[in-house]
Amino acid sequence: MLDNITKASEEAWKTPKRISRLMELAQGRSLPKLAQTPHKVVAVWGRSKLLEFKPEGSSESQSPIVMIPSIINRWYVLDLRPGQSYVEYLVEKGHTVYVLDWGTPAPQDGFMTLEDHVVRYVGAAVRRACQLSGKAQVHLMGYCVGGTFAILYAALRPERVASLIPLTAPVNFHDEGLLSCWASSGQLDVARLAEVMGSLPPEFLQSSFSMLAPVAMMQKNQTLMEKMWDDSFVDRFLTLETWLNDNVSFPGATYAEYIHSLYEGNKLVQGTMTIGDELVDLKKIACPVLTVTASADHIVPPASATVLNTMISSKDQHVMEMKGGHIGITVGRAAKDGLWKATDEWLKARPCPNLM
Amino acid sequence: MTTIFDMQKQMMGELEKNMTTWFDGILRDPTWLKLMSSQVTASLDFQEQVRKAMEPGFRASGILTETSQSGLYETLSNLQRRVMDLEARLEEAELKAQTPKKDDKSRRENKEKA
Repeated sequence: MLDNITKASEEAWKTPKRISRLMELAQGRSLPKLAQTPHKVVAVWGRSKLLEFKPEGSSESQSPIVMIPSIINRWYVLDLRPGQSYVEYLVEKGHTVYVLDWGTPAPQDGFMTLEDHVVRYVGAAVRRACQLSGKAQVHLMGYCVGGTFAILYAALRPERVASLIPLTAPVNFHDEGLLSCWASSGQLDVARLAEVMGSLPPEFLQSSFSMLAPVAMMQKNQTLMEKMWDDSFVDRFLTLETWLNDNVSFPGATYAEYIHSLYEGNKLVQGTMTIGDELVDLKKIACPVLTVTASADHIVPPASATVLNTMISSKDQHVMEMKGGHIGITVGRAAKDGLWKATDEWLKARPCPNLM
Repeated sequence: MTTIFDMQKQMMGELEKNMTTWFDGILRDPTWLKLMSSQVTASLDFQEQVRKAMEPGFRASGILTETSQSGLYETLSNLQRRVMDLEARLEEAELKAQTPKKDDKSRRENKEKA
């Protein structure tokens, strides 16, 4: 009886709040400010930029972390908003962070290949971070597709990589997931798709991601309605939705190669993957490696990522499974005491060597 | 007391339990995949036909056709590639010159120990 009265009074208080928030949303409630951690642009290559985030007042040379976001998402998932930012946390902990902002592909970027993105763009970011920080090597971290790019780079150019952290990065593309089922079916002529469209529009990819969990889409809106009274929930929700709906196109030539070599051929696991004329030998990765997976990841199932650790020659290698989904482990409420804290400690124990 | 949200949550739970497997089955079905890919192919065919149909008109009025634009974009991407390769060579040479060799490092460490 008492429980019912308490619940009824709670609902009586929440309902007007829900209605007023709903009205605000309908009228275009102002969004929380995104990507607020102070940074500067330290290099520009075509459409892409390298962003530098430095701890305030640090004079000492810090081991740089180079972050490679997914090529189809905006980089600011790593710096969503104050308090919900992986980059902000790492900078507060004394790290200098460089983020490769892939930018929005122009028509000419449709011709950019996997080799361009892995060897040229990631390579340029790594070298620039070395120069600016006075270090001979960097900590290379990549998220999702960016993680696969980081792995490919670390195998091809291991000399500048002090340690590698792939975050939910697919390596074995023949897994149980739906994405693998669709992309490896060979039903789609990806080469023609790239040729006609230039770059793959974000809507094309986004609709595929929505189909991965159709019920979750409905659940999301139901949860929003229920939690509409909670300002902090609404802010968090809107921030993430803004990012989720702000995607970029996938450069066509790279997309075709990515699907053909990785999804259809699963060449990275087969040991037959080539970038340009070079064979990718994962055994060449001998640096410390921390493979991070998400327990409820329906985009990159954990087994698809952890296979990396069986294929490299690193003695100092770890797998860390975080509780949550593909995006939740990086921006969710548990991220601070989970992924952020764990990677900060892991990185601090492995400093990068200095330049002369 | 059961609120409307409790009821919705329960409904969603049931939906998830029953529909997820159903959706998964459909989305993995080769017939569905074939249907989707044939729709994409049809859309690509249409885009190509429109492009082909418009090219003579563009050419006659001196407007850059998509085929010529495509060539131009390819040239631009090649240029970008060359610039980045040149930069890479310079940067790598600089970094190599400043990177301590392993021998130097161990020699220095031995010296310090001594």
